[in-house]
Amino acid sequence: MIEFNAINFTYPGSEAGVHDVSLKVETGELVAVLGKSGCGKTTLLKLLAGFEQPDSGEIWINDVNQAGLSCAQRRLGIVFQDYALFPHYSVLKNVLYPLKINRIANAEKKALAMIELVGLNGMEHRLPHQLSGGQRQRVALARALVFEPAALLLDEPLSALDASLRHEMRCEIVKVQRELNMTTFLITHDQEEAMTMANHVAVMQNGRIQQCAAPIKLYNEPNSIEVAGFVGKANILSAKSDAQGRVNSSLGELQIASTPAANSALKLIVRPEKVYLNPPENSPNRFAVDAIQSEQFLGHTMEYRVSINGATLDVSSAHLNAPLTHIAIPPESIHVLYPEI
Amino acid sequence: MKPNRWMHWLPGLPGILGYLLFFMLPVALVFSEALAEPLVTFNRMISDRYLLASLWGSLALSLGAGIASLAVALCIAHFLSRCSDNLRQWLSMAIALPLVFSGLIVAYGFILTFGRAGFVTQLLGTIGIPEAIFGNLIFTPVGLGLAYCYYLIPRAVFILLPVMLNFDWKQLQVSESFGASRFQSYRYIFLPQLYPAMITSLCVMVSVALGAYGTALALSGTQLNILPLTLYSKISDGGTDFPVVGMLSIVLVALCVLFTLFADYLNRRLTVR
Repeated sequence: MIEFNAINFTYPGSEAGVHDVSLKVETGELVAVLGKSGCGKTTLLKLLAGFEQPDSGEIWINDVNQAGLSCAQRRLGIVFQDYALFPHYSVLKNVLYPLKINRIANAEKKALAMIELVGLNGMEHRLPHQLSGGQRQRVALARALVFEPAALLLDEPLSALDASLRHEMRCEIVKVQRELNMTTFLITHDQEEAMTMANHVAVMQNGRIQQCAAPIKLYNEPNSIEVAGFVGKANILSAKSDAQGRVNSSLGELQIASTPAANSALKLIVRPEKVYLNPPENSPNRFAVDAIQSEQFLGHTMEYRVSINGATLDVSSAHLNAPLTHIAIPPESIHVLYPEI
Repeated sequence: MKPNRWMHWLPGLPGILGYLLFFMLPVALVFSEALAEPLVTFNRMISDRYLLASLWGSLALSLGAGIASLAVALCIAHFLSRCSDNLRQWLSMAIALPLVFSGLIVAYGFILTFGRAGFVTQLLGTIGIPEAIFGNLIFTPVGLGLAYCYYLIPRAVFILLPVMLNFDWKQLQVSESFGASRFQSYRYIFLPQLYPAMITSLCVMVSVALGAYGTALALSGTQLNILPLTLYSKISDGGTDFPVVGMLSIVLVALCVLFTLFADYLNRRLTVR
């Protein structure tokens, strides 16, 4: 288990760092920290690994306070974006290295078993430069896991791979992680990577964790406009509720699933793919499309930007059989936010 | 109009002529002198104990100065590789300065600084270090070695620095995360990747030190028994034993070739595992 308790850290001479971060990764769980470049996610990993020490707060790994412990004492398996394989060692020697350093018995047997687990049989004696990107990734993973670390830290592990290989390696990492029940901390800027691999995703912005939740909850119920805008595509509509609880948005009057607080300013989050195109006439929240501003063919889907009553809405759908004339927003697909005043 | 093929070679002609006249021809002359009566000349060379002692003296001095310079250069290059680009640029300029001076200038600089009436010697004299002892140090083999280090260190730094700049320092972080100490990380990860550059720089430094002549002559006159000074004494003033000098040159070339081949062998062993 990994636990961050009210962690603060700023780099000397700058404002950059992390502020009041509290986060928990249960044993055997994979938590992804998702954020743009410079949001502080790598700093969080450095603090966890012991490369930096927090200004205040505590980091606990398996119920042991890590304060004052060096990187070597923390026993964490780390996979960096560029893998940081030892180029002068073969695959086998790379995987053997943590075992030799820790003087673990049956080192070679264990290393070979781990090489087999990551699917690199027959490549034990190759040097890193003789391997493909995906194979290097597997070596880095095997090396990080072979000495049974307290936790696995993945720092943008797939960003150096091409799209098809990335998908394959995502499944591979999750498979191995679950097989070993390894507590894993993943740093990434790739939403797809975070959503498909993690049990929980923590969205980070300006050194703070904005929201930490299961991927589905994070997508459907973002707790802020920032999270909604960062995770997936979203239409963010300004609206107001009146004394009777009716909601008036820039599109027009909308029915929503819950009853909003009376006389409140609201932000409504509507995901483009949840909007029905050319719905039946009795559908709730049905609007006529005034104009189609743009349409994009993405292969498996079409994306439209439409004008409705002077407002702009992004919608998407599989290919339509008829011209787009109307849309409908199901009330249960509208997520309501109460922006702070 | 399509130019003739030989016209491509035209710009290289002055270089080729210079190479033939000032390198190949003298080498051929030296070799022809030495190999006119090879066995007799070789016999005369190996029976001259003074000559062989100078060869060993030179090798010891060159290797000693080379290894000491390498140790210092490793520290300097490591520091340079970790500092900011701007600071590195300024420090590199300062470190490169000794390469501008000829060996003679370096020797005179050493005499002015560390000689019997040298600035540093006088300063040390005021805190009780005997000037007669410290001031004589630079005229000994150790002093000559230190003077060699002065212009060998920059050479080593500029061979090691690019390798350190290209080194992925995350490897050390990864190594430490596996439980390795800083010392183990440097020993098993950093140094093995640096060995080829270290060997190359040692080769370069030993070769430069073997042939260094001006510094040795200015600092020790002919008191030190080292090869460049012995060669000088054999072909200047009263010395006219050109065949032995030619034979010595061949031995030197052979030594350099052997040394380079050995370095190459080590390089290959250390880089491909």
